[in-house]
Amino acid sequence: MKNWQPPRELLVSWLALLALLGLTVLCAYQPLGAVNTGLALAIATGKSLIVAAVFMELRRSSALMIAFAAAGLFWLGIMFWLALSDYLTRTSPYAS
Amino acid sequence: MPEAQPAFQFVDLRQQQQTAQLGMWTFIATEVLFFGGLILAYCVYRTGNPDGFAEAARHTKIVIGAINTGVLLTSSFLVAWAVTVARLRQSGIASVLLWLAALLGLGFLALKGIEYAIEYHEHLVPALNFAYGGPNAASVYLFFCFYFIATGLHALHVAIGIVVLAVIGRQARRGLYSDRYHAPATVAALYWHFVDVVWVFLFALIYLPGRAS
Repeated sequence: MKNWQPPRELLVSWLALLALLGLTVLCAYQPLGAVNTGLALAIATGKSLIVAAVFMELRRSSALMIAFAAAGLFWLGIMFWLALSDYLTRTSPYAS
Repeated sequence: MPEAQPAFQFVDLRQQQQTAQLGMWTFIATEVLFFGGLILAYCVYRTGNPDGFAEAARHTKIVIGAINTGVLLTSSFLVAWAVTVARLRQSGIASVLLWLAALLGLGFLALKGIEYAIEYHEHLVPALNFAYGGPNAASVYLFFCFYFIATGLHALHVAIGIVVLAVIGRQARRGLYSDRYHAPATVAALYWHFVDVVWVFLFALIYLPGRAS
């Protein structure tokens, strides 16, 4: 490999990301009901994992770095958990 | 270029690099909560108004949105590539890649601007010229409030990122980075990749709902 060429893992990740983009647009037009939303978010999560693991180099990072990277998601999870366990269990979302 | 030296509080450049990265990840954690709060509000309102949100999402410009997703993913790839070549002291190539990535960022903003203009002409801008009929008008209004706040804040992040990439590109051109010292490039790249990830989720939440119905 010449030292200006992109490493193969970056190239493969980029192509995979573009393929997932195509896939998610294609899936959005299939009448799958509630599955559409789940599928769109699953593919978005997949893309993010590729970006985080390869582009952001978390794959080769120390446990401390990964803990720092996960901290935001951890607190976000608590926020979603507490908020949605309220809103999703109301008989009407706007009932007081 | 003289060899880079660590700042006085660090044992060596490796420690300085790791500290810089931890700092950027901490900043990203606050950004995750910032955009996460917006997305949580979106989830609450969407579960309350599923039909209205699906109807509103069909008015977004999916072709522009999809192209813009590809543009950001590609610019992220260029930045990751630039960091690897900067470490190999390929200063010229690294700077060209970073500037290309910044240019793609500008392209993203240009397309976003065109999109906003179209939405203005369609009277979909809340508080400015929103005019929409039908039983779901209130939900459509809510959706477009979220749309403009979320994409506007994201565009601000892109604009900041473009400036950062341009500056880092200039540093790279001056041959500042090597395998020992490349913390600014790595940290700027982390920020740019994060902005990319935010868009990936905004794309899924804004452009994709309601397409099949």
